[in-house]
Amino acid sequence: MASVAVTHEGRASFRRRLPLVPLAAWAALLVLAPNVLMLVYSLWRTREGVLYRVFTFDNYIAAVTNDVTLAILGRTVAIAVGAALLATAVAYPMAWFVVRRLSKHRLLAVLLVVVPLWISYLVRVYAWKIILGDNGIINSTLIELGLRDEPLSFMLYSKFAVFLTLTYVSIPFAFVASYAALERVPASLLEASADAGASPARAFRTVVWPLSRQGAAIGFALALLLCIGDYLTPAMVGGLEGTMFGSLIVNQFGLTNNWPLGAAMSIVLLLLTGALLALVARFTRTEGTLD
Amino acid sequence: MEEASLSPSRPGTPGREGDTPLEPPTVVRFDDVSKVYNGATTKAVDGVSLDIRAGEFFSILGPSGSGKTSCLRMIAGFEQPSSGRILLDGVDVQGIPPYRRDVNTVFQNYALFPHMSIEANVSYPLRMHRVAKHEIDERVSETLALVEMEELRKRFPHQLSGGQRQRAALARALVGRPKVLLLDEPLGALDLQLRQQMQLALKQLQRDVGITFVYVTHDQGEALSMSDRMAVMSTGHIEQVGTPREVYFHPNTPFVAGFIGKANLGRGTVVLESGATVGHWGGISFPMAADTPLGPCAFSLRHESVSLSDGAGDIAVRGTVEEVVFLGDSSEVMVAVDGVTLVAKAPAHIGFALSNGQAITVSFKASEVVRIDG
Ligand SMILES: Nc1ncnc2c1ncn2[C@@H]1O[C@H](COP(=O)(O)OP(=O)(O)OP(=O)(O)O)[C@@H](O)[C@H]1O
Ligand SMILES: [Mg+2]
Repeated sequence: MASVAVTHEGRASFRRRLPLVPLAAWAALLVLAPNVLMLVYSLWRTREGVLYRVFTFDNYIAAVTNDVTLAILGRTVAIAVGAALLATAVAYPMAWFVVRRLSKHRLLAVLLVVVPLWISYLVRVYAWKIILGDNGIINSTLIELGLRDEPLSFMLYSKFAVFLTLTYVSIPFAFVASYAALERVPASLLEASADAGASPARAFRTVVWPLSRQGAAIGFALALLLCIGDYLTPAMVGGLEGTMFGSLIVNQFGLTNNWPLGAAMSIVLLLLTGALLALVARFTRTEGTLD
Repeated sequence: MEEASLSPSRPGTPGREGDTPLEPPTVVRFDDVSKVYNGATTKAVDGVSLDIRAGEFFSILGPSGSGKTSCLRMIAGFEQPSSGRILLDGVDVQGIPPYRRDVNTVFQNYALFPHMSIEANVSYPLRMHRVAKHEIDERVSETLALVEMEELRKRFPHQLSGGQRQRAALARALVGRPKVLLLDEPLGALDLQLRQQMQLALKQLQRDVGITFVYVTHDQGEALSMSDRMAVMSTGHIEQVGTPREVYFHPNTPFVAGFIGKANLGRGTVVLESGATVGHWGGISFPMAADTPLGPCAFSLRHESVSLSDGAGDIAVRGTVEEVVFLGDSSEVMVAVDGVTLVAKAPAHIGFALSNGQAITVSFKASEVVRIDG
């Protein structure tokens, strides 16, 4: 029986992978094709809105040498990384609390955090407009209380508003990823750690964090992907100051009608995001597995 | 002794005062400890009082759910007693968190850190106690040698077999040289052969390192063969504490007699007949020691104490074979004698030669009948 299994292993493993073929094709079609198309476009020339199928790097040069574009790219990365970090920093301890402290109401707590995802993205962003606006909840309360005479204007239509809103919409993603990772850390390992003389803080640093940081990283990555390409939030609460790279890209495909430049900018953003994620993955790797 | 235990926070070893000078000091003391878990209606541990002495191999034996793990977890500090006190080295440990207690645990599922090599797992307790680097290296090597795991030190837990993980967990618990080592069915997950091998190794190790072992098991063979002393638990309370010999040959309660080994149990009386103390068990009569309390009681007689020949004991009685149960290396022969059914353990070939309803003489030594209260 055993020897039969060995001789047929090659074919068996192929047969096991056979169902993956349509899956791979599907993924290729869905993920690869648009990107290849984008790459092709980014290498074509355009002049006054007319597309020439001539190979050129001009679009890339234009994308990374324009001072305004670069400044916005820098701001975009700063806001996206900041929002993703803050969301993870809020969500991870929240997930830890739910995993360790709640037993009966655990599912309810998870649902409460995730439930905003059922509401349209637009509505969630709009809610922040209501909170931060000149006649919004915060400003009217401040004025009502006599703490201020006129509304705080930095709150809406600013980088700050974009940052806050993106952080908010990212939290459920960061939470779910952190929760999934933390829930897998067995309580017995925490006991073993305490048994060996580790204070709760050291047990966290030496056991909980190494075994769950990959989950936190996945949460961060999801949040980053969500934030870095977003153009809806900047459009609704960002104002001029809160313009992000995504808004610029959308413009190239819309108003400005320069698809090759838009494609080149997209690729630049894609590569940058990839690099950021690789960096995160590099620093959150953990050897050994939880089984 | 009573006096001493009333001053909980006094340093020193109050447990020593009442003991004879030859007895080692008490390292773990249970003082009327009970435990009721949140939401539970019954006591998981019920009024346990216990002294565990320095350097002994102490087993807690009991059926599933009898509260063994709960006792161990209260020593380690993972659970708090609902009432009563636990003293480690004479100090009440109420409120002291696990990481400040000088005890280490070998967990039933080993609980090795999956993201650390065996070496890192074993050095972990030393690192947590901020031991100097060179000393860590030395002691880790020493401890790994003790459990014969030096070659595997670079491996990760998932790359080890069950027995190897068990030894790694043992090394991690031993490396800090705790006063007390707590072991919760550490051999439970191993197959029979490895189990027996590890039993010997563990006992040897305990002698070598001289650390007090508190060993939880539901395997009576393990408890009897390894322990210096043992406690038998049932439904949260302690039935008997004693050496394996005492517990085996002189069970204090019907539960112990029935749980440890196999014994004939029955009710009878002890009476004074013309100056001699005599036990009556059904229609069987036998002499008892002069200081045996009189009145109704229970009797216990081990299966192996009942012989199928009439010359082996001083009491011989006639009966008929009711049933023979073949057990492989031996057989159990049930013999009806005067209102009592005695089970005898006999070599398999003797069992085969018997048939139901056959008349037979059985014998036993009167001195092997144990009188039990209740
Ligand atoms: N965390 C808990 N919450 C509620 N009840 C518990 C808890 N842990 C144990 N119990 C109960 O306490 C009793 C004793 O449990 P314990 O684990 O001490 O038994 P044990 O002797 O170790 O049994 P086993 O041999 O099966 O491991 C059992 O009835 C069990 O159901
Ligand atoms: Mg148990």
